[in-house]
Amino acid sequence: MNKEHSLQGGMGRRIAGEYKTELSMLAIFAVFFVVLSFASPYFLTTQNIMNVMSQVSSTALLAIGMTIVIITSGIDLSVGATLGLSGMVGCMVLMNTQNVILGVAVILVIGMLVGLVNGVLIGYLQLPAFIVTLGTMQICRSLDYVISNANTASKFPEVYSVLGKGKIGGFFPVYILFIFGMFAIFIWIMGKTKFGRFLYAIGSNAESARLTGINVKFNIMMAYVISGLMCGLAAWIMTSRLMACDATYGDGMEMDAIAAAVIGGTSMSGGKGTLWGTVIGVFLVGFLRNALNILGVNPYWQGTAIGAVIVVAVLAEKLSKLKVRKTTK
Amino acid sequence: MKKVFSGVVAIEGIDFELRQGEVHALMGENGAGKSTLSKIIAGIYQSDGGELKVNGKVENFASVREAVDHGVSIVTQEFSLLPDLSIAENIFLADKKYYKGGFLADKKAMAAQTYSLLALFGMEKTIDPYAKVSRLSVAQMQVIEILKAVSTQARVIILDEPTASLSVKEIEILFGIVRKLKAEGVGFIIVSHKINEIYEISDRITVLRDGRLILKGVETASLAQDELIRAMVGREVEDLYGAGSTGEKPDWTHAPVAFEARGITDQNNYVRDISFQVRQGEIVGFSGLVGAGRTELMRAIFNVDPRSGGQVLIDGQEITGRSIKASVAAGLGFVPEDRKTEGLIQELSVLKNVGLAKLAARGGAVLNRRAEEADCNEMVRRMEIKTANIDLLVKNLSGGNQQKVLLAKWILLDPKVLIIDEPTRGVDIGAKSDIYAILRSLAARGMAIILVSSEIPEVMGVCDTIYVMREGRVTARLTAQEATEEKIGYYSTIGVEKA
Repeated sequence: MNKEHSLQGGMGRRIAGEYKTELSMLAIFAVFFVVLSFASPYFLTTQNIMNVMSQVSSTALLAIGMTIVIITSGIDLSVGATLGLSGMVGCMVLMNTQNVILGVAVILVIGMLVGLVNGVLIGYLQLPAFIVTLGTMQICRSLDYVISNANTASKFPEVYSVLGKGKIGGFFPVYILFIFGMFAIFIWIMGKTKFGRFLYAIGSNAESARLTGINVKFNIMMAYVISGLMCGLAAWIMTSRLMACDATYGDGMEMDAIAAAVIGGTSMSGGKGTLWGTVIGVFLVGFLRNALNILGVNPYWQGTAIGAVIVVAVLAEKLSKLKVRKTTK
Repeated sequence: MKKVFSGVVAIEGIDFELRQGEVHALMGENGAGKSTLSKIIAGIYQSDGGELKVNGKVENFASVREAVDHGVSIVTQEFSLLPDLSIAENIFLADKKYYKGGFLADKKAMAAQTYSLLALFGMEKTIDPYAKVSRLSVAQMQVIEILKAVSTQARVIILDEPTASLSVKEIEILFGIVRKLKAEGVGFIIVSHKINEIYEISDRITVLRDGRLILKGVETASLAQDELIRAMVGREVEDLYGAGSTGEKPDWTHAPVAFEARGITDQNNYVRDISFQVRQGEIVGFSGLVGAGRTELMRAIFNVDPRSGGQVLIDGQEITGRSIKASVAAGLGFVPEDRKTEGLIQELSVLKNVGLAKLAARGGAVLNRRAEEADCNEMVRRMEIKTANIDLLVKNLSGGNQQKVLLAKWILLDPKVLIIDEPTRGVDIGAKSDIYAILRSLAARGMAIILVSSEIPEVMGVCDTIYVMREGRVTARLTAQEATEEKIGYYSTIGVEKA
């Protein structure tokens, strides 16, 4: 009954099928964008878009790591605190040595080390991700304060500001290019490499993946190391933009990262979701905040708006699933 | 009765009736619509046409609750029991009568009632109403599910593949309960693939094929077995195991030894000191009751679980690594028993599932969609996997086709030795005969195959050599010529072969 042509995967059909959630989020995002452009003449200006970009830059990087971890059916609550700790240690080294390369290296290594600790505890010792990262979150934030003694690190060499403030051709911010570069790299890794495929497999059924010969523990650990690395990169961008580091940096950002992933269609039960969705999630949250500011809405309402978007996004996914169940099985 | 799923008519024009105190078997291949029909009857799905009558009154159930209120209960393959609650709490979970003031569980009354339910079937001594469900065997859970239905005064009980994971003895107990309830006027609808059982327990048989009614309520006694099979499959399956083709089979008896296990002892020392050899092109079967240690043996061999002793050799070379990866690299493949939880990744596509083992064993770091497509299409063709397209999620395929995808995943690697645990569990006859043909053709090309199966006819029909296990030990080694059902049954239960 199977004709040859029906077996060949049609590109269009495949994309429509695999990225259904992402496409519907993109549509919502587009509508939202158009409506706001009419609502405020200021909204669609270069200046404003750049503003939003700089506001979401660190969250975007954290959300990349978060999405990858959630795909393995884990969670990383420690990202905000890891950003804080890695940024603080690196910036203190930077302040005291004035060596940019050393400072950046320390930021990234500390981020990955925290990720490695999470990864070993969760992947190899099979402890629950929620609890482990809740613990490392507290530890990192506490160490952040201990090390800095709640002081701000500053007086960095001028060249450190290149990533955060530099503009290509005097116009295009370096960090925007950097963030989109990171999205491109990780979209490629998750979609086109063996590692990415394994993470999806592990997230949806770790036991089947293991019996297929996949090293489940190692791959899970690597997901957390990547998340840690993204914390380091986010810390780098943030401190380079502000040319200072304070012990509160990154506080609460894990929630924004989770929100971006979930709004973008990543399933908390693992195995499902893409970074395309996360890109949309990050900007949807960013522009929503921005729009409320521009329209002069009392900032106390921001949480209500973003919370509502999260709930609606999950609800929409649930409804579409129900519909599918009713019509397929 | 009619049901449409995403534009596909799953079942249409089916009339079905159940008399009081009758056991009515609902048969057909996977995808024939048996489950759909039974789920409509139980209120899990709603029909898109047709009507459902209970005692002559039209009642199209909008929910499971409504069906239960009308005395219709279903016991599905996936149990609905909550493992951390007691048996009594599970049975009366949704029964308002057992909650004081509407919310406080009256555990004592629940337990007392459970005890008397158990006593009805003479099981009050073996099962404690206060015990947690997680401590029960699969067979006992099945019994609890049925008791749950009985406790709601069910007049119609639907059993979906009730014996899929039960041993012979447990099946007897289950059938005893069915007969007892039947005598009290309860009607049963039994969905099953196992023809022998259906002849043992049912009064009438209804056969579906491709969502259509083929045989409507024929008396079991008047229906010949081959007639039933023809009705289910739609063609003659003269030779399910393809025994006729053994003549073409190259002689394996002098082929080199491809696989050798020496003194395998599993981590719990339940399976002790088991040694055997498999030659190239030979199919070796492991028979025995559920719990005989066959699966534990295979898992220890493949490094799924650590083992406390023994060596595994492929082509005379010992596998020194203790990881699944090392086993695969040496040329072993392992098709596990439960395709849902251990075998396939339900949320991934056919393509991604088929390619996964090869990718894990030797794929480069970057995926090659074209090569994966070519591999997958070739497997779909070779194994006659019925799927609308290769990007369909595996969970949307029927059981038989899922099993073929699982086999394809390993066959794509072309292992020297393939271990297959229960290759045809929950698989219809058509897919079964396909799978046997595939195994035979693999053996003909020199693959050594180790087959674990609880179905004695399957082991006898397919294997060249049969090992019988009991309580973690091999109790007999029989050649295909020596083996009879009686002998295998004897060694599975009481006998030990003279050394």
